[in-house]
Amino acid sequence: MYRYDEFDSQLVADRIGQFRRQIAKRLGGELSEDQFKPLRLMNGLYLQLHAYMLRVNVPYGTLSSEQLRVFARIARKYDRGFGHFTTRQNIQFNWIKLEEVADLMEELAAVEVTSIQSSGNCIRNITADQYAGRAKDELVDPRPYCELLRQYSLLHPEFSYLPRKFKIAITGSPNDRAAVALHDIGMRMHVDSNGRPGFEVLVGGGQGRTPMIAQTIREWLDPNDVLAYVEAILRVYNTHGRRDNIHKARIKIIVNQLGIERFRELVETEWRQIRGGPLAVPQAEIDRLEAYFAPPPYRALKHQSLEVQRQAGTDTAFARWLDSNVVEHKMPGYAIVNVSLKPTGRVPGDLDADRMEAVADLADRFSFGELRVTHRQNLVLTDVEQQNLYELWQLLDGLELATPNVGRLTDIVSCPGLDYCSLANARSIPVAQALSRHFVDIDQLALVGDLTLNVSGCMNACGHHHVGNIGILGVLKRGEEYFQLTLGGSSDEHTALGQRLGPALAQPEVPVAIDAIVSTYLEIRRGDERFLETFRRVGIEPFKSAVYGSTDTRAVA
Amino acid sequence: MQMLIATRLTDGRVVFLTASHGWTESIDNGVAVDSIEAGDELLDIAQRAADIVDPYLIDVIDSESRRRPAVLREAIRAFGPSVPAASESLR
Repeated sequence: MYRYDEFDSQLVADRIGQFRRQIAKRLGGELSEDQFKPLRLMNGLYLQLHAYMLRVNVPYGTLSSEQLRVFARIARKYDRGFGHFTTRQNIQFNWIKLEEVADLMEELAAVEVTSIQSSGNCIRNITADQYAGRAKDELVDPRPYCELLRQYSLLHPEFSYLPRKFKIAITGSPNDRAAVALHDIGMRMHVDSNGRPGFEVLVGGGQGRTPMIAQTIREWLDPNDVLAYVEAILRVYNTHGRRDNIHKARIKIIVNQLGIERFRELVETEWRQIRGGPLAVPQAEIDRLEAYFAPPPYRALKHQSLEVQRQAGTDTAFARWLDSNVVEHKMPGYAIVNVSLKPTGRVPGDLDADRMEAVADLADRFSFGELRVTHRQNLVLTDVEQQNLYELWQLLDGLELATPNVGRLTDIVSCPGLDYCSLANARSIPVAQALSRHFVDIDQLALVGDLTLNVSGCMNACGHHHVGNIGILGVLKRGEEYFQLTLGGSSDEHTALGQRLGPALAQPEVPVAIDAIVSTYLEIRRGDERFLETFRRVGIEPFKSAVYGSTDTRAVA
Repeated sequence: MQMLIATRLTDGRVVFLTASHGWTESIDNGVAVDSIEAGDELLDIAQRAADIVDPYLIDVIDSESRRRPAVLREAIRAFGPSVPAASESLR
């Protein structure tokens, strides 16, 4: 786990004290809302449809059981007993009172958690592969570099007033689970022929109303240059980024307008001036940060205990869960376990306080007290002995957290939508719930296999609909909610934006349409082809006919 | 008819202006007016209030069952999320 040094602790304590005074001035009438709004946003405090919402950073998705218990306490004490895990590996509390928020922040700070820079035009939470440091396919653990960037970017004066928000993601695995090509800066870690790690740097990705896939600006960057290169990119963005139009202010617009070649020239020119200076990262610093992420005291175990195989052979429900929710661990005898926050008919990513505490207890008992938050709004227990999987599955099942659907059709990503969010046009949660209830047949889910489905309630795309294999975007037409479908999106190492299927559908028609799409896929797929592979082979037409041609689905313009 | 909807500063809750120029969380207890001039007057009162944020007028409809906002967004603000909280639905 990351841990605060003396600078972090003092910075966070001072910042909370400052915000407490700012709140007092606002409540006392000394600050207007226009004056106060940028101050509260810098502390992650939004004003949504029903209350203040606080977004709390979970640095690169890593979470301790102790921190999760504090989230549970905050959910009970300051909210309505639950929290919402987001697509940027954070947690949001929906029912916060302004007059209580400084006290809440002090409780978070006690376990080294903050909401600083979870909003505003600054560098947001650095995100990473949720299996970082554990995945069998990983080349380099990205967490020390995430932490380096976290420390560097925390309250950085030069980058606290960027043209717009700025998101960075890092993966150390060739199988991209961090959606790096959809970030302002995305980094893929590689290893050279001498075994030394380095970064491929991508720039200019993003979703929202103008989705763009990041382009490679540099094929190889040595770790000691990472801060200087990131700073060079930020400086070029800070200089050239548009501040006159919020819809054209992200770095992706500048990269697209200038072209990647010109943008690269500007960055490299800036980089040459600062490279090797105070921002050079000495190996000793990398070693120090790597020590934060020392592996837990694993036992020497043999891979795949016979007991697990035996139980999977006799218990098909357990076997299904192993197949979909459990991932190979780099250490023999251990496994990575996904905790599905998508039980049938529930709100994707929401978890109540009782279950937070129960999961924290399971993390202590089975996973050295460590968890992760995924950008698909699930939790992960990082280090579970394979021989304990059956018992853990039974306990998770008792909590309704073992739905065998991770990576499957009902592992739906959804933003809060119009039920909570002041920006939304349509309700995304009821669509997700309707689909979850429609596709309840576990055998059918297993048959369909890997398929991502993402729902956003507006074109800001917090539900990442552009990159769902099936994407659903809520729109408002003549005061009514409609939903536009896209197909073929992907956020992995072959990132693609979905193609629009056709006219938007009324909410009750969405499950019918998704059913038609899934049935068409099952009819035309070859062998064990995944949905995305079939889509790439046949294109959108067969699915369009299935939804608009041969069904009685009513379409609107 | 129109009502004046706003956000209470201290806790962010949705409130409606009442006939006595106070604030209520219940749409049924707020004041509804049916002229442009009367609406402007509500807005004027609200814009001078220090204990609320973001006041604006909304259209409301009185049906047989109860009063409700004319558009979905304001109905959700008035009556709360259309989905139960995790802490309710999981019990």
